[in-house]
Amino acid sequence: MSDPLLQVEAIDVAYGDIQVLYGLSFEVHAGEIVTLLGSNGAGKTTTLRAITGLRPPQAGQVRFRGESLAAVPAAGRAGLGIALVPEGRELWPQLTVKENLELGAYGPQARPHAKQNLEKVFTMFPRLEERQQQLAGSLSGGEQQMCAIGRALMSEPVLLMLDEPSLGLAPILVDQVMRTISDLHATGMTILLVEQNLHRALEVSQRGIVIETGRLRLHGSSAELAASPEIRAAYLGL
Amino acid sequence: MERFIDLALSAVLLAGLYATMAYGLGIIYGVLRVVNLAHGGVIMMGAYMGWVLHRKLGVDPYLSIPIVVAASYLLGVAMYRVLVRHLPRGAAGGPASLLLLFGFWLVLRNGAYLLFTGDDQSITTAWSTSSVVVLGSQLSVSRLAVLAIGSVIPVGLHLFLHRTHLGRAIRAVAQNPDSCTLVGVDVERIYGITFGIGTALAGVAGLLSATLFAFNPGSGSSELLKSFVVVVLGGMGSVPGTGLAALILAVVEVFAILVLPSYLTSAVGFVMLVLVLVIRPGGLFGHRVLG
Repeated sequence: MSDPLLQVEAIDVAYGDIQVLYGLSFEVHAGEIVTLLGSNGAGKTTTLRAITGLRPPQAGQVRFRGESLAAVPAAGRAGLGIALVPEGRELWPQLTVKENLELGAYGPQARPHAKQNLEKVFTMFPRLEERQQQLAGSLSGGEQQMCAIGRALMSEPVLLMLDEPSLGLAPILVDQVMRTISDLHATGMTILLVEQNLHRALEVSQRGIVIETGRLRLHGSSAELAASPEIRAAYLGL
Repeated sequence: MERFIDLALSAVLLAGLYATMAYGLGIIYGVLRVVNLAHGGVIMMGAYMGWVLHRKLGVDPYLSIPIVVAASYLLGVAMYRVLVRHLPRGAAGGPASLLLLFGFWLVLRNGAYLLFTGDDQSITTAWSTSSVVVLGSQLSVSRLAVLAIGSVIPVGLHLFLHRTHLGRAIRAVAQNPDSCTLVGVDVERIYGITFGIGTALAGVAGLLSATLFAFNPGSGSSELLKSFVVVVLGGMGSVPGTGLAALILAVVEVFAILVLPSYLTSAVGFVMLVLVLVIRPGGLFGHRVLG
């Protein structure tokens, strides 16, 4: 196999005195779709924040395309092709949908293609086109999720990370979000997914990585994990 | 009736100045959640910059606007980089940033006493005393000029915040800085620029006010307080709301002359501030963060 696209190497992350990640390591290869699993508080969101640079690790490092990100500030990482759809959407509620999307293409690499990419996002989510002049804060939960995914796509990511994209959505919208993720993967995008809904997550992804209290617990193909008695007992409630 | 028109016109003229001052305080608060207590000091500095340019170099005060804007902008960027950046923000950072910026104001004030003494100064030019007749009222040319500039500034600011990439990024940082970092916005740079814009507005306000009123190094307190009133009335950070609030304050202050002794008129604004905070803490037009 080729060099991994993303390498997380023994990272420790702490919020003040509270350490969340302990020497966590894993890899994601180009073109893969991988799910990060774990119970609440296991450190999934923190892992994504460490990769984006919003919460730099105190020890260890993150490599992207083989290069260490230690010296790359968080704001420089979108330009490398790393995008995060954060938990809870985190849109700019008093900006219009269109402004939210356009700001997704703020970086110098993405800005020249903002127009075409906006068209693509509107084709993917026609609801957003209808509501482009509305304030993002006035959208429904499902529409906000589309807007958050659209904003991340505007930066032309190589690695798209999604943190709990189905949280708080009606089942029919969960289907739609999961289909969108599969479609994006089919276009060749590498995806790292954090998802509470394990059934759905293991359905769409090829591999799973299980973390427990900030440490790597186990990893394997989605089929293996879905069949593992340990996982079934701990997370699937079977 | 004539007196009514006189007062209404002078209120409108004053509103342009109040709005300019308040935008400076409001944009910094809206984006950084820092109350710039040095605001009054920068207003006073803007006045002295215009005065020095006029007195020593013979530059017309309206022509010196770009110079004062540039100098106050750079001062603001420097204040952010050297001082404000290192402070905790939000509710937790309140006391630290208030004290630091108040201290900086005292430094500016005492620096001005040292350089310019405590004497009252004013900027008077050939046309300071000329006036034109509008709707049967005598209006001084300098007041009209202040109104014109005070109206151009909010329109320009609004267009900048809504029509440019940088302006949208500033509004976005006000609403959710982490999301900005994720899309590649250098949030620290935006904070510096915003602080610079806020002080540039304060500097211009000082210069404009110096063409109307006398000033000395102690000036700035009442300007700071009026800016407060306008920002709170207007609902922090809304450009049209701030403009309207400036007009309301100016009208109330000017018309208070009819019913109150003159030494009480400046208290009117503060009574309004207290009433608004008690009755509608989000401002008259609802709380909006650079929407």
